[in-house]
Amino acid sequence: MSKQVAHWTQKSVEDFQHSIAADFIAFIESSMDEEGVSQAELAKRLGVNPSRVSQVLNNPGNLTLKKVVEYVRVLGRKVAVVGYDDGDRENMHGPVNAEVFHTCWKHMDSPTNFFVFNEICEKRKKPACPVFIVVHGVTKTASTDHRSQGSWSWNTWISKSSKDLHCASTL
Amino acid sequence: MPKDTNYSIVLIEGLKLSPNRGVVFLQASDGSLNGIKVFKSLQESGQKKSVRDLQHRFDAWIDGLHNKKMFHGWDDPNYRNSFVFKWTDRNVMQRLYGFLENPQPRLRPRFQVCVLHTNDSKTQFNTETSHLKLSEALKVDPKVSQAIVKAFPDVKGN
Repeated sequence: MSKQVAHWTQKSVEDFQHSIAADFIAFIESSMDEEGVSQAELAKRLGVNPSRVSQVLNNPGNLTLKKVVEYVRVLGRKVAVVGYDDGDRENMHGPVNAEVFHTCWKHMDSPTNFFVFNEICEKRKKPACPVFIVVHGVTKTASTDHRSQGSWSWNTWISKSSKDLHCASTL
Repeated sequence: MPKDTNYSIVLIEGLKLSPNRGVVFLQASDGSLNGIKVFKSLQESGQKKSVRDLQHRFDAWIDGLHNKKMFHGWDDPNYRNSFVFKWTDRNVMQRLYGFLENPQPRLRPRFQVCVLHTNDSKTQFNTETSHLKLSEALKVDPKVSQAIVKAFPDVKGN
């Protein structure tokens, strides 16, 4: 196998720029689909000729930060410029696709500040509340229980979460 | 395909390296598959935008993204192995056709490669089914399989 070469975006600033701008164009096009907005309608909202919109969408390399903001805002969306360190100093692996960041943010319930983010993290750490049903003075869970033979001993499964089960014996 | 045609796999340098997916070109000894020729010609003639667009699309698929505007397969069971990357060259819609393959069922059972073979301009709404039929035929051609096994040996230590 030949020696691994750097990712194509390492060739020049323009190559790297093209790749991240193309991620953004994909987001714009997906937003247009979600909103049912055609290129003509987008052009109308921007106050430009439709051919201008087509030029921008088909030429990621020409995107400016100002255009980025104009395009997201007329679609009711927002944008953040996110720097990150993935440890790949030589850029052997290329940029992380913007959709990965977006998906991770949505997966975390879209926190808008670090207070909300921390609350979400705290909630996710806590186990789900167990559900108890009291029958004839003996506690058992709504899930599974086993009765041992010849006595009133019960092995009670207490479910804390789908991943965390433990068994407690009761007499 | 002519019986005395041989095939080889051409790796695309500079794409994302992933344990999950890869994109390669299939080359025919009789020159009948133009995909690799078109890509190399874009690179050599300095069509930077088109080359970058294609490389970005390849990377997006390798990363596991879903984007029908950039690439897709077909639900039709007759063409279930076929795949296409969509791009535009100087305002003309282009399609780069290929097929999906799992070349290392023992070593990396989940590793999937898209083997590209033919590029064509898209001049009508409906897909040109001859390219899909070619995709399906190439996938089961023993000489093509030989080329894929040579490029992606399914033994430990490689």
